[in-house]
Amino acid sequence: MPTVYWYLSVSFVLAAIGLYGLVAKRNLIRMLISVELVFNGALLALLSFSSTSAASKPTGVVLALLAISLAAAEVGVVVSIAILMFRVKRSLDVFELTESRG
Amino acid sequence: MSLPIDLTSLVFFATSALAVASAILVVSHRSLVYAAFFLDVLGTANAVFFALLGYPLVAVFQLTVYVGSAVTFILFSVVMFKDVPEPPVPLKEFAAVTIALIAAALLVTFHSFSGIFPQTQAVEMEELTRLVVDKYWFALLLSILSMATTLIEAITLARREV
Repeated sequence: MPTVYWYLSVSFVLAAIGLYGLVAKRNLIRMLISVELVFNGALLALLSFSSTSAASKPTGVVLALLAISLAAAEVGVVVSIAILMFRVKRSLDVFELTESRG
Repeated sequence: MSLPIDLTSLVFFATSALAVASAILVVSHRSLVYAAFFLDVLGTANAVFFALLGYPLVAVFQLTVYVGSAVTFILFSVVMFKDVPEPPVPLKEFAAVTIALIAAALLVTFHSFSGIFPQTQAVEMEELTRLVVDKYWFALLLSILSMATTLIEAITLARREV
């Protein structure tokens, strides 16, 4: 049976790949997808830590359920911003957003 | 005759390979549609991890709410956008090396967890409900409010009322 460390290793690898995608891409949707990768890695780490003792398991479940709900809401907002940006600028390049500064 | 490796380990290592391969494809695939599809696969692999850790409720919630709605929403939304070639971002190699070093540092830091096995017994629904109502009611209220406001915000932005 795999130990908690194996689960943590997978979560760190997922988060690292997501961080790389966040830094190396400039398309808004691709950046959102990379942030979702980081979120998945962080959620796996949270539940891995929580599973180390039976007493902390219910708290881990509650936090995970809240985190998944908020991540779903965040996706809706960012995609709607992307739709608006594409309508206005005909592009999803975040470097063009710097022109929107007041 | 006993198997040289138990079924949980087999499922874990197969799912790990699938998750890491999907994560690499999410970042590296040229098409946004395929990137979103591989994020869907990654979400499903994560649900398998949750079930293996003894969180069947979170696994089902991840599949229905996250994979079933959020990621599918991204998948359908990217169809509306025209795929345009992305100009390269400077210092990509430097970022890759830095992030690999951070991941390696985390792996070394948490090496003390290598001897700990996860507690795989499932959490009772009654205990969970009591915890949410008694202890985390304010967090629940805040998350409901934030979800309602983000829904209104998303509709307002999409209808271009700003």
